[in-house]
Amino acid sequence: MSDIDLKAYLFGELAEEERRRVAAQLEKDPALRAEYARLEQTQAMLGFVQDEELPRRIAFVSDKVFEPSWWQRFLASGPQLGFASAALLALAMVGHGWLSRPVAPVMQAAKFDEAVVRQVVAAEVSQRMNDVLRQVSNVPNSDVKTAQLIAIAMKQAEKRAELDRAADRLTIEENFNLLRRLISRDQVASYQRPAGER
Amino acid sequence: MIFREVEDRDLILQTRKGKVEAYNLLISRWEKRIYNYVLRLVRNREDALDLTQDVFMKAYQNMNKLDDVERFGPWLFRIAHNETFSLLRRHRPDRVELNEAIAEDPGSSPFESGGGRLLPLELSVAVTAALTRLKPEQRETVMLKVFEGFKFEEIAEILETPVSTIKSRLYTAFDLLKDVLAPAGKQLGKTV
Repeated sequence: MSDIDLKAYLFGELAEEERRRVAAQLEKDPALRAEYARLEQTQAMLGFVQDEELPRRIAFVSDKVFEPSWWQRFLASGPQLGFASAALLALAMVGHGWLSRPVAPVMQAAKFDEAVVRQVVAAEVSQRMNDVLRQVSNVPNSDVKTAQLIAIAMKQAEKRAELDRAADRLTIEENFNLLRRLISRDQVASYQRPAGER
Repeated sequence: MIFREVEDRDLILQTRKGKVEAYNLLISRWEKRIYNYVLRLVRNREDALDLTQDVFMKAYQNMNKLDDVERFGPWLFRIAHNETFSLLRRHRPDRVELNEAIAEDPGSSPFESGGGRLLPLELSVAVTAALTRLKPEQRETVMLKVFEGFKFEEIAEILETPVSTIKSRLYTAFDLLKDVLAPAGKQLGKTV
């Protein structure tokens, strides 16, 4: 009886072969059966112990303090972790592609840059020249235009005055010639009349 | 057997993702067992309730440390064991409430006074009193085996004690209970 573990048999802790061996022994041995009956009775009595209900239910509210941090949730989430791994792999591939791309010849890049620089410099120089001119004349843009218009008008007025003077000179010359012809005709007529009539 | 629409492992995985509602459902499945386990150790309802609350809070905070979600039960009971014995070590002598009179008189038997047939409630009180005569570690082993139905290996895991020690404690305790409960067993034989 000493090698029979009745309590392990009672608690269902024996392997199948050992369980069968104990069952067979119980069939044969009345003393062993009596002892087993006492153990069964003790276990049955323990089953009379009643559980108490909780005085109040235990429940958690959604409190941020007890919630797992973002990285704990992240590590606990298989799909998120998988997506992050895929994203990291894609990033690595793009990075590798970028770093190993064919490099353009240096001279071509220089030409392109020179044209752009020239354009930019020209625009900048033009802007700065205008600024300097405005500062020197200290005249606003609108006044410069007005002065240019006045200058043109004055030139036109000068031209008209020159033409008027030329016309006046012609008129005077014509009148002088007419007067000289009249005087000449009168002198010729006086020479052709008889002496008593002059 | 009660059919469970959602398994504990699903609720554990949901809890790990921060779903407090899932954890509340998990608590509702386990709170009564944990409360009664703790209550039989500390024998004080207020302490038992506080400890139960602490157990579930600790379990929630350490949910990610649970390696095998299928072993949630033993893991939860280990937390309960650690919390309970931590409290008992702090102030053990002044916390006796349940069945104190019977338990504190080792010479008396819980079945001597009545003489007649024991009702189930009386039997429950008597057996509880008999349990209080055991050493705490023996009582705890009996509770984990008989009331909670854990295997020897699981009890060893919960108490962090070798299986051989668990078996020794349990067998000794059972022999003691068998002797103490023998008179009631005779009456139980009449009752049943």
